[in-house]
Amino acid sequence: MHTATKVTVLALALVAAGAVTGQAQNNATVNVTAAVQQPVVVVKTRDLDFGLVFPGVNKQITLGSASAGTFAVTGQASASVNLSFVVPGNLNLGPTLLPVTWDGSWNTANAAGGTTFTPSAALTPATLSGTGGLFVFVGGTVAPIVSQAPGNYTGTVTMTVTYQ
Amino acid sequence: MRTCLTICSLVIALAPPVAAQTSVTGVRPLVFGIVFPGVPRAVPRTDAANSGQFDLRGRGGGRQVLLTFTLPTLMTGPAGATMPLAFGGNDAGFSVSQSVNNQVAFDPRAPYRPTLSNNGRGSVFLGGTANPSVGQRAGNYTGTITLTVVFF
Amino acid sequence: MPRPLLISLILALGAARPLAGQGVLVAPHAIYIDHARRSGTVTLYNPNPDPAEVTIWTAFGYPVSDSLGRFALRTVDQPDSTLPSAAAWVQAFPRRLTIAPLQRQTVRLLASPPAGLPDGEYWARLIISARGGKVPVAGVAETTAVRVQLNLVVNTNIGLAYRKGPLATGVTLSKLRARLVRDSVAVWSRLERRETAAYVGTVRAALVDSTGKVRSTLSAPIAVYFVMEPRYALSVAGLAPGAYWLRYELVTDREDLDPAVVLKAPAVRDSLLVHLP
Repeated sequence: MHTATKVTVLALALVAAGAVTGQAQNNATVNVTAAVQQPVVVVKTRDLDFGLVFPGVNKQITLGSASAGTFAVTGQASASVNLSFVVPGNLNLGPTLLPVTWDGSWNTANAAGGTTFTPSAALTPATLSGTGGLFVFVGGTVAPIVSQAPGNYTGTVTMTVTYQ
Repeated sequence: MRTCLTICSLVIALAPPVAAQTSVTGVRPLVFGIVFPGVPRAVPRTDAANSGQFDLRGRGGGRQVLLTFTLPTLMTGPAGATMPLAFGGNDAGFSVSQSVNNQVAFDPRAPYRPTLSNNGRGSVFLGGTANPSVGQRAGNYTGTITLTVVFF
Repeated sequence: MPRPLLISLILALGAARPLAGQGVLVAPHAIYIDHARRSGTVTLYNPNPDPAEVTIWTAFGYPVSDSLGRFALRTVDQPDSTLPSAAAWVQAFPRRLTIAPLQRQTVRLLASPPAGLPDGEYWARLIISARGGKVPVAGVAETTAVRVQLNLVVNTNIGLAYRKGPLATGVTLSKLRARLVRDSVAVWSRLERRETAAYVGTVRAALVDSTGKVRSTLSAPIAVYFVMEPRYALSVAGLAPGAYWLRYELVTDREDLDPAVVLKAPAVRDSLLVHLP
């Protein structure tokens, strides 16, 4: 084969080879990250509802009542916690008072039949379940007098859940 | 000799060093941030701060590329704990303008053939969903996402 | 009955408004701040359909056990220099915020320790107080009914530790004792913190029968700041009478905390023989 032809063939081969290597492949990576944090949370799951209130007739909401307030506490399994409350002795309509007393209980199951306590500033020890759950039930009794003035009686209940 | 020089020059001209003119770069990790046990956390591909991002650079304009993801199914954390990851059909996006606000969605689980911009650029954005279990162990979890790009 | 009085009685049958209020999710449930960074974060999430008004403050306190072995929190309003309190110089930003429904908010905790603070671990309690959105009172125009509206405030009280310099932790275990109480074995121990940092770990207990089989177990998180005598209960319901080994140990292993913040210390163990009648 003529030398020029050989060189031409070689050149064409090199070009052909270069055309194949022109299809380049690259790759790159990025990380994917997350940080898991165990939260604690207290959620009201049911309102404490006194319903109809008659002047002169005490109205009690028991802990087992469908009208008792319920809170669900979630945290680390088997963790020890403390419950404490600030509850009013009276609900207020301006200077007019509506006496109220309180009842409480806690349970690792969603059932009111647990450990009873009187909601107060004193610490009530409790333990979360093996799956990190705790249920707190709040009931109470309002004692309107016969001449209880109509209106919107208000009060504030403060519940503190303390973790180790 | 002259013929040889001519041909050699032609070969050199016709066979440029391709690798130096194409690149894919991992720009930003996919960040799920703080995740709570039992609560899935999704990061959309349009999240400018937390979506994963790759920048592409190709030779010339208007060229097609082939994108293939290698997606992890798990992130690994403390004491060997793992957390599942999921990617859906809308979790990846390609942008010729390299803007997170201007993407064409595609399924990162399948190869995709977009076209680079006229100046040979493009960006790929990736979202996903972390699925921590209720008993997910606390701590930092990581994984690796790989994007392979074939430049034609 | 006079008509006006009858009317007033009838109109007095009011529908009481239910208690309204909610809490927020707080993560992590224990905060650790390093002196090198002097800042930390806590994430709040409002899982409720109403906005949550949140206030954050610090106080000083640490876990103790009461006379019955139950967890309690000892708080000191004005800690003196003998107590390692960080409450006065750790602040949350913002301290008051409103979190929209189903939204998260990151709160930054910044520390401004006094100059020349010695190396060590300093403690505080972080209180996150959440008040729910107001419940509208139905039938406002009807002013003759007796209504009850209760506002609920939920406080979450978690621990915070500020760490400066090299730290170590440890615990000594003594006075392990057990007593059968109905269908449980009550287990007591005296735990005394060693070294410079609070001991944060897990209590594990197990009842093992004569064949070496584990019959009952217990695992609970614990934090020992000074001295505690906690009480735990292991269920023995259904277990056959006889002798069992009670194995009791404390380890610095916590699945609910980032391993990076849990100081490691050697496990401490003890055991005793328990007889079930």
